[in-house]
Amino acid sequence: MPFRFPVKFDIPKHSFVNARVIRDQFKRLQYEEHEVTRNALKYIARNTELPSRVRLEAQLQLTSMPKYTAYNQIRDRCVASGNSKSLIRDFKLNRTAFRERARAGLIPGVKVASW
Amino acid sequence: MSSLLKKIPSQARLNQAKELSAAVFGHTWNPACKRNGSKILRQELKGPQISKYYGVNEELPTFKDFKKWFPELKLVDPREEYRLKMVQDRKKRNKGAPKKKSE
Repeated sequence: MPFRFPVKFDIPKHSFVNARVIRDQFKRLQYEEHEVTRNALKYIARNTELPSRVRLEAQLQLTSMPKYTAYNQIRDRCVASGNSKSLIRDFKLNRTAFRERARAGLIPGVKVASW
Repeated sequence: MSSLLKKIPSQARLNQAKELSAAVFGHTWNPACKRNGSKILRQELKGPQISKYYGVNEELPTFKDFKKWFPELKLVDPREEYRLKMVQDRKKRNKGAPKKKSE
């Protein structure tokens, strides 16, 4: 089966994996790779002391970069279920995955509140 | 008669002094608050942190690795076994994955 991404990369081994997690991982790696380039272009584009022609050129180059290198394409997902909705960021877990684990006592320091 | 108190220096003169002081102590001098993009250069790179979100593959060995390293132990992953059992059960109830299309 062909590898359906423009660049070959390692699929995460220690997390739940489905197509959407893999896609997100790809964007993360791409973002890391292009971060410096993007920042440089952004700096030129945002610098009001530079000639406007240069700034426009930088902005155009920035927008012509692939979308998967942009930070706003990255979405945190649950590492246990791959879900992206009602994610508890501190634990990287979806609410149901978190609840199951918490009830089973698998998350240190978490217990049911009762007062 | 001239006063003993000196006159307060003009604003331009004060600004000159401030500029000089900034040059001496390595501070930035940007009185008009022009946007010069230094905000972007000052930021820390967040790529290394972000790419680690789903865990680092080389950090820990997986069950598969152990199976490969110690084939003589005949290790069985209970989770994988459970999954295969469920697949078989579903197949029995005709709920399995559809057959591949043959030409």
